[in-house]
Amino acid sequence: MTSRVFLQDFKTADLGLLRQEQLAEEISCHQQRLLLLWRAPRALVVGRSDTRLPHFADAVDRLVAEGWPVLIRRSGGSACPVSEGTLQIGLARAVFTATTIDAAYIELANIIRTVLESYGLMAATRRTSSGFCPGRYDISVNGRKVAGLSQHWRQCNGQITVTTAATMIVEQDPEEIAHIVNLFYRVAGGAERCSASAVGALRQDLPVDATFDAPLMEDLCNRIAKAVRGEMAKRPANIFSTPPSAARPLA
Amino acid sequence: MTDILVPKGLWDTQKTPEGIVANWFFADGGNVPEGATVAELMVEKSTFDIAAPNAGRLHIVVAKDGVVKPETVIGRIDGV
Repeated sequence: MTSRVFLQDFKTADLGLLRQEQLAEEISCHQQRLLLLWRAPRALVVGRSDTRLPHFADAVDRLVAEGWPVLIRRSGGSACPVSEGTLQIGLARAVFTATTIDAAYIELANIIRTVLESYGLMAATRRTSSGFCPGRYDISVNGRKVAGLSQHWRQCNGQITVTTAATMIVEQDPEEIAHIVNLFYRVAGGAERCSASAVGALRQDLPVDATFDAPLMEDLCNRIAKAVRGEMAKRPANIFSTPPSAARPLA
Repeated sequence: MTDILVPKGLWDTQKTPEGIVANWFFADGGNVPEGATVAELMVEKSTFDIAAPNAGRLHIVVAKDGVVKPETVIGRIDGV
């Protein structure tokens, strides 16, 4: 399978989200995967069900005043942060009849876990209920969520496609994420809450003196691209078997 | 009359028992073109667009927010 990788910084998060949603339209054959790694200034990306909250419009106004514009995405789930300290990942591919929603999630979850393990971090795939946008395919390190996944399946150019998206917390302060997610739901009238202690960040999980060939975000993008191209050792099929454990120091 | 089905085996019901119809994009009784996205399912943070298998008049069987599983008939289309 061939993989094409795009890295992009956007001036606004809505441009990045649009690009991610259009990614599937560029798939030319069954044997192609397209990976988009992107960053953008701050925004809170919510699911469409969030727009039905009783005071959604008030919450949008409040978050804009805080410097966090609110965007609505097509994939499922609830509020997720975009910022220059987070990495947005979109993996688009055509699917065959036997592919399931779970299999598509596991593919990207395994890629992220492989990359985290390349940093010496043991990652787990399981729901982090008190993190932002909780779901079965949350990726956590030391019990704290560092990435959340969602998907959008649609027909493009006569074939069924799936874009699996992930928000990965790299250098964004978990306290700020929890604050902005909680502010949104409190003002909007939603019950969901996010605990800062349930959210992690790759930078925090690495040893203080860890150094790489490039700045962390760039190094991370390089490793994800390598993993998607199959240039890293693959994980075993059962991704639910590994419990969270303490971070190992880098070799 | 053609069934609009949730695809067989779309998700593992051992892990996620049910999904919901998150949206209908055409009204009950309205005409839909072949291949148009008529509905959207939501399951485990995934949205799945359902396309019209053929053109015709739409009959909604499972309303918005109704619970579905793989192979559930969510609507039907009368051919024109």
